[in-house]
Amino acid sequence: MSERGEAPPRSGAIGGWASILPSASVAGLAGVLVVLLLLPLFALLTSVPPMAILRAAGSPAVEVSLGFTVLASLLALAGSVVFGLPLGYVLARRRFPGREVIESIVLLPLVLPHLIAGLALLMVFGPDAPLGRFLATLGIPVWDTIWGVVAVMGYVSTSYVVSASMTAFRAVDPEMVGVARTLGASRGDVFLQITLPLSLRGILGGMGLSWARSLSEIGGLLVLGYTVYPWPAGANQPVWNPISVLIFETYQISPPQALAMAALLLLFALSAFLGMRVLEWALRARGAPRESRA
Amino acid sequence: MNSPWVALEGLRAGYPGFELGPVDLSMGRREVVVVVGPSGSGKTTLLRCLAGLARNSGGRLLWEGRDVTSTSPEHRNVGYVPQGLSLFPHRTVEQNVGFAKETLGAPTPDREVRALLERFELTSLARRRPHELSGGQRQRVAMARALAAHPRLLLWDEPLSGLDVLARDDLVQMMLEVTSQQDVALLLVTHDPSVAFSVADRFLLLHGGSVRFLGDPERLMSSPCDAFSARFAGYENVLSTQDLAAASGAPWARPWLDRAGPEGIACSAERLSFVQEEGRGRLPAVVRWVHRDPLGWRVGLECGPWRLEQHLRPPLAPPEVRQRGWVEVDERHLLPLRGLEEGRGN
Repeated sequence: MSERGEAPPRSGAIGGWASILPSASVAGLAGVLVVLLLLPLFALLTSVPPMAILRAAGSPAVEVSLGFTVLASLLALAGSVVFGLPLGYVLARRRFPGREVIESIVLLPLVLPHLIAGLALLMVFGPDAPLGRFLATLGIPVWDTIWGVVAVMGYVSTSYVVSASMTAFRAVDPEMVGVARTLGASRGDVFLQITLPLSLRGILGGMGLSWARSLSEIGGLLVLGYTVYPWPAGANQPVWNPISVLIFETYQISPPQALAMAALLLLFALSAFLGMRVLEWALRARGAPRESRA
Repeated sequence: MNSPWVALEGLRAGYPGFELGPVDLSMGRREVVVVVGPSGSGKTTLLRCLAGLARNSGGRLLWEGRDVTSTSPEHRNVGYVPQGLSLFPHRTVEQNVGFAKETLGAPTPDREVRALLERFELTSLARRRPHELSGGQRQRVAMARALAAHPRLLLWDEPLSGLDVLARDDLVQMMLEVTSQQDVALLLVTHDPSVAFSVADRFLLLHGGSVRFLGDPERLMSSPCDAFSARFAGYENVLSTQDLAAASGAPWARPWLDRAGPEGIACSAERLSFVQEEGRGRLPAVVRWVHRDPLGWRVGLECGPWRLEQHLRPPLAPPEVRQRGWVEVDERHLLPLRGLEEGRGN
């Protein structure tokens, strides 16, 4: 023993384990979740022979249904952007009484069971509802037409656009906007040259989620767009089904065929998702920053 | 009589819980006014109000007699460099500097923009984005960007914070060159006395939203009005009225109390002596700390409830920590802080 007293016990090993254990458990839990997220997709894709997926892709019913669903979901997305971006901007930039209430209303469709959303929309746009009757008299029937499908898709997916754009607009430093104004830029110029480019990645992310949500919608469509009659009405045109409804219907008759359609839809969604990520990477490479407070 | 280049007449602004003003200030072209004051005194609010980014609740802004109080920021002709600089992160250095020209529809890259890049030594960095620049480079971009709009008044909020001494001095030099060559008045907020005294034609001291002092640097140095301005002017030992009241019963405090003004008293650390002999007017003291500084030593002294600081230069040797002795100061070096009315002036 030295004159200064006994040396303290070496705690390196214990300290090492103590520091490793929390990291290991966090990594373990995260890993389990990632596996749980991927496992069903992997199981679905591996349970269907590739030829069956190709056959499904070649089926006229699937082609029409998928095309129709993509069209309707893009229309819903366009509506979400046209109405959602201004709302997201106002919620991000303006202070006014009731702002929090509107923010909550915007998020409401996310917590609403989609079947209930469909029933609620039926009460507004259905053949017996005043607005539905009024639109029908204008030649725009909503129930069981593409407009009903767009209405359902828009209703359940707009929240993503509004919420993402609100967050993205809010992340743009207001001081930066102010400085741009002092440099001679009008409000419009500032929006187009500063706010929008800096928010673009966030907005695109919200649009991607919104579109994917529309594509996968079924609950509300069971009520308002189960069987879709062509619009404008034409003679001898077949009725359409949104792809999710078609898969649901097919599953009751032929589960293997439905699985092949589901695998096809999954591949389609994954491709779109990959495309979005590539776009995001391209924007990042061009210098659009994640954080605007540089 | 010519109207002033920039004039603030009874300007008031604020937000819930805080009111700035009235601020009266006239600036000539190429004049540099340094705004100082403790945190929360309204410096940034004043700048934002002048830039048109915060609404004023009263008063007027006049550009050579033209009322611009209600003019929108884009037509106000004011350059604003905020504390965080707010460079546009998605644009290159050249695009940042050329932003004002772009809004006017000038071709890119503009000849004048290129000249500004050259003047601020940014030409080789023209293609970089703000996150690829050092603090000093970013400051230069912000300044060049603001000047590209040919502002009548340039507002600069804490421009040199976080810069090393060399970068700071370079930027100060550029700033002085630009303001001497262009018709621009500069209103600068800084907490750095060495920068402030090297550029200021006049000082505007704000405290709690009110103007406490408006005058030239010599006046601020020779007769600071309150504790903040005394510290800013380089007086290390500032005793407020509360500090003085804490020692009001002590006979040794008499000379200080007799000389004090309504806002307290100040004394430079250079003027204090720490001696071992008791004598008339000397304060009993204990050495609490001794720190080295580039020029010698800083000595912390405790005199009853007061904390004083002494600076020692070689060949004088510092005392020992906990050493007891007496503080001596020539009464002529005790500066009374006379408050608002005494220190205020145009």
